Amino acid sequence: MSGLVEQYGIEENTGFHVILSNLIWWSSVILMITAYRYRDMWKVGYAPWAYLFSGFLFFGLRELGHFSTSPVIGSLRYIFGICSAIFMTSAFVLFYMVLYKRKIINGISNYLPVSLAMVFPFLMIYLYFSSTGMNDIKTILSTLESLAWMLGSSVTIYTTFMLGTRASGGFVSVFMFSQFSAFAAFTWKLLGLLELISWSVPYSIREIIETLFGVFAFISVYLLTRMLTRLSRDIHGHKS
Amino acid sequence: MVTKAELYLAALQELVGSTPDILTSSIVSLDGLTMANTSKENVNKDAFAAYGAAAYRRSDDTMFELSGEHADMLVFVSKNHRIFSALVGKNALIIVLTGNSADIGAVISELRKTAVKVEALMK
Repeated sequence: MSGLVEQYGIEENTGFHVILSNLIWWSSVILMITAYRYRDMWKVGYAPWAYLFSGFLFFGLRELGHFSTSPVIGSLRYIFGICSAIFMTSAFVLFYMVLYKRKIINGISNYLPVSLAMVFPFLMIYLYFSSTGMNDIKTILSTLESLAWMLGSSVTIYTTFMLGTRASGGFVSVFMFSQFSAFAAFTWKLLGLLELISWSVPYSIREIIETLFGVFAFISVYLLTRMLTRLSRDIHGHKS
Repeated sequence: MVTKAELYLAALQELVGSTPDILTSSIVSLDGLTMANTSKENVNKDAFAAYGAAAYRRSDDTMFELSGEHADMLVFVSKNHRIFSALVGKNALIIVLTGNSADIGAVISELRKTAVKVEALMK
């Protein structure tokens, strides 16, 4: 195994890419806070906005976990990653339901993603008390995170594509970059999963794809925020 | 001092008052976001804005491809409804949904007047 690490650099480490990834995701969270403040400009309902915001926030928290080598923090990092995948996917599914399918979101749809996300902390507690080793828990949660992102990004590729067919102007770019982001997330996690089943993928390649995932998500939320702030300035400006 | 949003809404209310059978009227950005809206029916404002702006964009592309000019107005008709979209300045649209008893000529005339008024407010 040490030979493989030397050859491919497949072991996770805290390097420049971790700092870059944290910068990108926390900048996205700040932009998301700004966009959230202007959510009345795009009235698609409370739940999609809340899930979009939570998706970015939870991924930012996940990235902070890179700074610790503790298996407990590592496991918690994957739980935040799973929650982020669930919330981001749900946000785009709800946008799709409201804007494409013209459905009114009811109570169950609002709370289903939260209920699903709640399963994973309890799963970690269950595994801990069933005498599973912390490193094994981390591996299980890492696999679940990969599956959650692969499934979630596949759904997001579909929903953003369909939303793009009904969008105009700046929203076309917002959905396009969200879709690029979902493609990058799928590839990143697929490579991670392949590595877990002993197909050696250079860590640097995965990290480049993870950084691209963050860059595309940042561009998407930047475009959304810019559109909403401009509109707010246009309609809330005073006229004497 | 009044906000531009209030003035846009007043312009739309004047349009609705002057033209019978208008069910929904909206000023939307070309990105498909609502700037002002009046509605007599239970209409999802944001879906109305998104679909209206997307329809205008596609029609404008078609108009430009076929005639070399940009579209100023778009009218589409179904059995029971009519939709009119008029360009306001460079970045906005007024979109009106009417019933089938609305006089097309009168709606277009009033819509043009309102578009000029709203364009002046945007400056």
